[in-house]
Amino acid sequence: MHLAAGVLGLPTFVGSAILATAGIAIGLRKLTPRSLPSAALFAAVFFIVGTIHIPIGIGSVHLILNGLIGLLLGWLAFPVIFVALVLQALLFSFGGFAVLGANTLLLAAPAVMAHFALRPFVENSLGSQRKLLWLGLFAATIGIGGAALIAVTMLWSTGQQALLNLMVLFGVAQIPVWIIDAAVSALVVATLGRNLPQVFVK
Amino acid sequence: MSHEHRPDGRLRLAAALLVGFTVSLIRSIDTLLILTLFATVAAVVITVRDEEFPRILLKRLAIVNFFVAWIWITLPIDWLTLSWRTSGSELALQLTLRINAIALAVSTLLSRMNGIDLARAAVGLGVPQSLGTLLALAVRSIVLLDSTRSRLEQAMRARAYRATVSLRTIRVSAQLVSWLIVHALVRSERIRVGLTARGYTTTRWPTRQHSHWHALPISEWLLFFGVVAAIVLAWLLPIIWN
Repeated sequence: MHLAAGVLGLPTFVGSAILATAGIAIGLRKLTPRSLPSAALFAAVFFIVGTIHIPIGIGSVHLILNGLIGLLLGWLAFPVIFVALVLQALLFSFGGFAVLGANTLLLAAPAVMAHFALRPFVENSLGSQRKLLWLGLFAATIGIGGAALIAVTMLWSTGQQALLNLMVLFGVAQIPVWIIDAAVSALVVATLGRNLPQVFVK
Repeated sequence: MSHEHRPDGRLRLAAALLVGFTVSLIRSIDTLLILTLFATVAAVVITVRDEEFPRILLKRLAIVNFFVAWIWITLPIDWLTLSWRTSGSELALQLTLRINAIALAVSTLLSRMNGIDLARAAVGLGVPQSLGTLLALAVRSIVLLDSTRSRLEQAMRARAYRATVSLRTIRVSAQLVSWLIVHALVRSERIRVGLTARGYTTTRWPTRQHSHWHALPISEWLLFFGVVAAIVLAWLLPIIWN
């Protein structure tokens, strides 16, 4: 889920860059020499899952998993997602450098929201596969739903009525992404909770 | 570690950010058309000097114009009445030119820069060292994890797995992601021990210092001021013409 460079107006462009910078700054304050290698590897995971395509009908969707990354990393999701987006823009031209702020904000802000909304329930859910599945499902719902909502708000804030069709199409296109992302996130959270529960423990 | 880039990576990145910022501001179709033309000329010049560049550029243009195609499907056509909207087509043209101008200019300005070069340039422009370190380590980690992913996918194929529209595909993809996360965590612990053993106990990036701005030769600044001049010229030309 990326917005292309040039589609946003200046106030949205600058505002989202400021908010993303603030989020990255908070994330970097949480970055320690101990957490640095795992943060870099999570950036690599986020980058690589973006290249995993799941077929749906005649097309395919790629995984996003920003809710899952947020659930695991909290505020660190901001710098981690930013780094992955820089590399996606550099290597695949997804998004673009000019809208890095906007794309970071729309993916990382819901990730952080998922962390704070679901973190209190994590430790109680570790013993139950069903609870872990729900946790992953909610993480993806907050991640994808939040990202779609922010993206549509950004397009709406350009003040162009003609963009309405694009916003509707963008919103509808996220439904299969959400279904696939939710199913994969739920199964990943359940697998990690069963095999590597320490990943959820602070 | 990265080699020294000519022109200076910081100036190239600053010029790319300047283009992204100013082009997002411009609404005049004439100005955007001139800027797209300038960016195309610059890309052609690079193409002459770099055989790899056209392939990379065409791939990037194909990706951004896939989004442009959606813009042309949704903006100029009122699908309820099946009528053409002039305001929508003008906006679609404006966005098409903006998107292509930025893609052409940024691809040209950052050509042959890899992730490490970009991180170093960003740190040189004042981005926190820890973010540079994270970017540099992420570049390395992608190589490591991608080989893990290739091995896992090879094992999946050996068990006759083929991605289809099915629950099994979702289940297997989830297992792949889970294993990538497990591998990432195990590997991060090994990397952390390795970094500590090398006395690396901060998040600062032990990279080479950049040359001082005033020590850069005029030829290095030409690219940056050339970009500034192109933007000013693209803004002035339609005004003079009309």
